[in-house]
Amino acid sequence: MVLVSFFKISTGYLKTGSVNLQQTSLLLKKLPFLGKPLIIILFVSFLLWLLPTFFKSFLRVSFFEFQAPAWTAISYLNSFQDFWSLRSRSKTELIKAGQDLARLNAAYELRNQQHEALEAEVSRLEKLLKLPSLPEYRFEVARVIRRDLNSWWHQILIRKGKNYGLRENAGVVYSGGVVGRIKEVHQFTSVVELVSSPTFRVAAQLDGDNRPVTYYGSVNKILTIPQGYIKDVQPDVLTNDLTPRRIITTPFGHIFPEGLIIGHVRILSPSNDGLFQIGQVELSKELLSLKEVTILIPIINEESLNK
Amino acid sequence: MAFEVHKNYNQRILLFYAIFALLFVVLILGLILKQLIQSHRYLEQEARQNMRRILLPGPRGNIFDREGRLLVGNRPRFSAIVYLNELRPEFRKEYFHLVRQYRKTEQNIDRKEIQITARMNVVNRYLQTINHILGDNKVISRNYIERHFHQNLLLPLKLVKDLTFEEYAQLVEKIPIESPIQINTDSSRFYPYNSASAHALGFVVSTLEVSEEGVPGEDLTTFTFKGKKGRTGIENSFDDMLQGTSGGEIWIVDPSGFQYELVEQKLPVKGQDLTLSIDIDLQIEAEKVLGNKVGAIVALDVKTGEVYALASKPNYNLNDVSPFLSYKIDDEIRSKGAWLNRATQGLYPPASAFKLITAITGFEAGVMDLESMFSCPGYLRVGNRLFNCHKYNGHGKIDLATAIQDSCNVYFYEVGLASGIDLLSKGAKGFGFNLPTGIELKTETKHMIVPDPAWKESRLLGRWSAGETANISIGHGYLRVTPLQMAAFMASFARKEMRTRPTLLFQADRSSNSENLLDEVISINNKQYKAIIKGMELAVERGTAKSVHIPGLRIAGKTGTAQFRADNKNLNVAWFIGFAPVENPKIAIAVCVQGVEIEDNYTGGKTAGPLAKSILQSFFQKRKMMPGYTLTGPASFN
Amino acid sequence: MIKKTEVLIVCFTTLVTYIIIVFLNNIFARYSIYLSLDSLYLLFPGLYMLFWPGYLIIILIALTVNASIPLPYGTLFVLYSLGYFIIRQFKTRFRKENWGHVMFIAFSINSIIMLIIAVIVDHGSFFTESYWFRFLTDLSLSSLVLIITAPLILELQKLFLKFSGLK
Repeated sequence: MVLVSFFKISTGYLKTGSVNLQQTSLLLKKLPFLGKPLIIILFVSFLLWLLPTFFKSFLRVSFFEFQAPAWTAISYLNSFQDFWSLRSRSKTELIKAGQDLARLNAAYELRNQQHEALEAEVSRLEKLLKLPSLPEYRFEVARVIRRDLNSWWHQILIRKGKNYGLRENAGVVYSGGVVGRIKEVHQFTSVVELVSSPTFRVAAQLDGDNRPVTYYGSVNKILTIPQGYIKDVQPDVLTNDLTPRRIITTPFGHIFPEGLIIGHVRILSPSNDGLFQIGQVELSKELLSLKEVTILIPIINEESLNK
Repeated sequence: MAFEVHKNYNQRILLFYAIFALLFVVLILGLILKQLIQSHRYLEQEARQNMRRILLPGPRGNIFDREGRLLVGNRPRFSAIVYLNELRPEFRKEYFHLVRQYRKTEQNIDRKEIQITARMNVVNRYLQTINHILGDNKVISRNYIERHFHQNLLLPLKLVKDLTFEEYAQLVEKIPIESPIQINTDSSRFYPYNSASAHALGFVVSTLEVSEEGVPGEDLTTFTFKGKKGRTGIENSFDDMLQGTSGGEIWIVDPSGFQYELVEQKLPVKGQDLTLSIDIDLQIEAEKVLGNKVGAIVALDVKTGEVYALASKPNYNLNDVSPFLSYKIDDEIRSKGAWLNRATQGLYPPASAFKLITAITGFEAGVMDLESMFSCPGYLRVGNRLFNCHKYNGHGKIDLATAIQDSCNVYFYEVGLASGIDLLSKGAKGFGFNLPTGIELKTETKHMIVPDPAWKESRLLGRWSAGETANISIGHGYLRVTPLQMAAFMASFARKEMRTRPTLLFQADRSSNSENLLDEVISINNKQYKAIIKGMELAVERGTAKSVHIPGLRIAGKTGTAQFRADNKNLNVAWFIGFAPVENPKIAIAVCVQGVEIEDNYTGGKTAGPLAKSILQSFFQKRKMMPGYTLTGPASFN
Repeated sequence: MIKKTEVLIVCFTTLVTYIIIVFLNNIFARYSIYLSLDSLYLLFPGLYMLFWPGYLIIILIALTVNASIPLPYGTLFVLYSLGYFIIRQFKTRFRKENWGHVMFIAFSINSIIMLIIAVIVDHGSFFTESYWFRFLTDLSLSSLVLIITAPLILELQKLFLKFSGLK
């Protein structure tokens, strides 16, 4: 009843652009609890709780997609702003930047060739040894629209979604290593859960040791770099403060290729029961200010899904 | 007007301020104090009948070698588990769903049956999630779930045990962190060197006998996670030390027995680590040189009695018997006779290696001196029997050193017979051949034999004959010793002492550990002692043990070869015992290789000698690399 | 009579406020600072509007904000409703013109919302010091920003209304 009355008032109001106050007060006389805000609020909350999950998900997606264009537009505006701020640079500056880029390009070209040669060698060896080929990934580069990083969740919104064939659970990386995993894919945007998020978990290994450990994200303090921790580290694994060990991805989970850096661990201490070691992982500071990320979409997975 | 007119300022706002401030303070204080209160408020809890205890065994300590290398550790064992408590809403939902279905079809409702089916459906649904991720098709039987509900309700239900690294990684990454499915890590024993030192290290078995010491709630109904108990070897002998301290949890359970609230928790503590005297490099070398042969090699530190290597072949891979010993593996190990630790349980006649005892007894009894010479025509007649020397034509007239060098039987028959069985037997017993050495292995045999007339009579084997004395003087006959005893004898002899108690425990500061060694000195004079050593050195240089010769290293050694009958087979055994360097003995060694007669024509010099040489080479090569020959303690693992 | 445009303007300004906060957080993220300024959305509808139109805006903003964060959907709706209820209780009992009062109510409602979220979404870190340290720093900084901006946002929204030709 309350909901009906509420909708009556609000829809009527939205339709006509106004509501007769007298009508409202009459309604109040008929339904006196309408004047009790706490009861209304409790009742509406209860109704919301009763709503079926699919309806809530639908509502959520609708509201998400409804605001997505705004975020995308703002992101484009941002890019545009960046563009204009570059335009305002002096010619000499731009020429210099161009030269730097040309140099980098040349270096990358060389790397590219080396990479191709190595890939050919790898596939030759794979054939020779009759090994299954390593999982391959397709790449999508996307810009970051917004960052929500707090003690409860660490996620970023990126400017590509279903329209670019992104899929849930796909790995997200950047030049410094792992960024996280796609959590939600919407039409034009996707939500990425960062590697530093307290709800992020991934199998990892220490560089040079192929036994798996589990990496978890954790809370980082103000003005500090993001952090995580690893569990189940074997007792014979040693680290020292001066030469931190790299935590890298394993290929077993099929989300990330092998060897991407997650972070570094300096100190390992025995776990509560003394069976294994645990250690705090220092993540890259850049995670907090990423502008562009790359999404890895497994090709095999994609093919099988398309079938 | 969409906006209301402001009314007068109301003093009640002050009340709101006060209430709000108070609430906020209470909230903050509540947060801080929650932990403190939590640990105390249940102390007076009376409803103990609603409490259950879970015993969590402490992880076992690690075992290291003398240089700090991990010999036995714990490796993680991953399993996908689910706490049934967390599935209760789903059980209920599924139950009502099934009841509705049954009602629709108007079937008779057996509520208990439906309840079990509901539980099974829910658990299987989670198992399907795992199967989907792993591309597997695992199933859990109804029986397993039912049994778990009745017996181990408070313990997690294992959906998939022993996940491989790949499965583990996939589940960790693909199962949401909030899912009731959790990846549980427990441990099983892990042996980085696989079969190396298998017999000395031993293995563990699962047990439900977990120590309850220090875990509160003795009177509560208790559920126990399986612990581990050392079954053989060091794992067994030092079980108390390696065993961790149990932890526990006390839960209040609801009437159905599900976890309701955690009242108390005590974390398990890992057991103490143990450092063994084994040098894993030498141990591996010993096992390598034994190869597929049957036998044992023991190497001891002469001064301290610490065991460098204790190898026995055939052996088994310890990782095959952990986390549990399957019937198949047990059969395999049994059929190749690998359970037996030949170094401490194998009983063999010491053969010519015993001649050293005969010589010492001869000196002690005064039946010979440094100048004594005996003539060897190739045999000696004792009563009606001819006792042969291994050299058909005989050695001619020889002295002690040459007799040892060439292992002349006749020389030692003469000495033995002159000394008599009583003195020979007393001499052997003096070196502890009739007793276990006391090494920290509970399985060391107690059945070694140093015969004498009384022993023979007690066994109803008849009267003692002079021929038997002759046999004993060259280490044959009823004599039975273990390779470890022979090595201990060599270590004692190298120090000119009577006893060595071998130990598997490493102590960095043990220079000459008197508590392990009985300081009784061999009662022969230095010249006599040196004469025996000279014979042993000559044996290595140009005698029966010349296969052991290493240029530049003075080794004293003695070989031995004997035939004997055991397990209804005619067997032979090849020995080498010795120590080095002669001028400052560091290592005492006993090599014993067992063969089947005729098939394996094993002899001490040919078979056991080269193995001893490899071991000594390996030992001294490594030590030469260490400046000043100081043994290092365990490496720091910080 | 209530004009539709009034509600739309308040709705629009609230959404703008939301976008500004998101962008502030985009910048502060690199310093591991997160501003949670939820009570800003509630102030104007709560203090100056009638119950139902105000509540409609609150529902819309709650559903919008909640859509892009991983809180169970509807949580913010309940929390904002609670905040709205508190404001409604006191809107006629203190001076809206008194910035101190506005600041206080904004601060207290914001703190309650943050605290409840902190208790709901602790991800097992409830008893860890770093969690509460981060929470308290975020809370303090948010409160500071809130206290400064609350009256400004109110004035801004009033200004919008004024420019739109309404009284």
